[in-house]
Amino acid sequence: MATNFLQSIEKLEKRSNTLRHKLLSHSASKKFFTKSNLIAFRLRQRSGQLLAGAGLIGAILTMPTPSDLSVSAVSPGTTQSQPVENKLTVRQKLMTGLQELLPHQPTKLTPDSAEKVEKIIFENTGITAKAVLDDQSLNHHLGYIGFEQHLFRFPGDTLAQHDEIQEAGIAPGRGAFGYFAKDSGSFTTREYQREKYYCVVQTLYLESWNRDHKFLKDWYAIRKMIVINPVNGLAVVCDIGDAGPADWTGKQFGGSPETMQYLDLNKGPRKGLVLMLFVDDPDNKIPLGPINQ
Amino acid sequence: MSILFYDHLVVRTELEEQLHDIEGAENHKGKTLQLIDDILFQGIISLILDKLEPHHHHTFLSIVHERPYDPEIISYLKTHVGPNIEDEIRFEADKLVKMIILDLQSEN
Repeated sequence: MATNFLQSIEKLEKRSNTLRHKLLSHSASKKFFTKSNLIAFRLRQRSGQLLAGAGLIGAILTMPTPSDLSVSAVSPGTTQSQPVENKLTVRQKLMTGLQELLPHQPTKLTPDSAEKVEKIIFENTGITAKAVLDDQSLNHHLGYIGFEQHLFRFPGDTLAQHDEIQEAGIAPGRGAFGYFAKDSGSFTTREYQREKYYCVVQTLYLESWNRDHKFLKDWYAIRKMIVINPVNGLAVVCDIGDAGPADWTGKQFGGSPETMQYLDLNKGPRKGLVLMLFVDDPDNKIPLGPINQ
Repeated sequence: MSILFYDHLVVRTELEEQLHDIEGAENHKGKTLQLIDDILFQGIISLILDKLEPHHHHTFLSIVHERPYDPEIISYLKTHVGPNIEDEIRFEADKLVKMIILDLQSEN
């Protein structure tokens, strides 16, 4: 059977080559693709295999994993981070409180469930999380998150300039919402953090996307989210930096390499079921990053 | 991994079922998924270039490179190719998917 599968792969490779030759018969595409783009596109698709096949899984496995359970959260109406007492309990309460409420499959929460979940999150982190904010709601609040690559933060940015988890690679194009900074001169720590803790949600599949995508694109770009791994209680405040993943991947969300590391979802299949809700933070007081690391 | 602008026009259900039923190492399945994505990408871009006036090719390819996910690419194609471009892409994708399934079935 394995041999047959290899033969199928061979056939598909032939078909791909035929189509590539046809594509390159257009002079513009020849000029365009022979530089690097077609190769980059293939590399994007193969990134997971490259990580696994080049021995980089080992590197990922040796990366530090979340172990400390301190917490720094901001309550609505306050302006400074405040330590929450009983550090271990925060994570445990998130775990136990959410585990008994959440189905273990991709789901859109009912208003009743959402209210209970939001209450647990607020009581344990001080963060106002919302399943629905400004009449916006994702198609899934609970879904599978996948390990994403780094994103270009400004024109001319390179993977080498990203200081952590470079083995994740970098996506070939800009994120769906553009660069984080217009140029390297305006790249501040804020934008550095935005890429470090970015997440990906399926805006393309929103019911009103094709009708209102201009408004929605602005609304969702760098929107602050809270992502919680209900299996271990680890949580990260992140911002929406890209759109996806495609439905056929079986995943509903994506997370930056750092986000996935802090959720402890950077090993093995690098995928897991998480809760993803909006953060209601109109005054921008809640910092991006792990909240109970 | 970003969504590509035509993803919503490609029905992959049969492909997924076919791949699910095939026994094989995960890395082979990964390779197959990559090839399938390449085939769909190349086939759909070829179709568009066949229909788009040559002087628009560079602009179109540049947009795809810079913003592969942007739904405005479809709007651009509606303006420069025609209002039925989504149906045409859908039809081409179906044809490609059928060919891929044949490739997969012929050896399994």
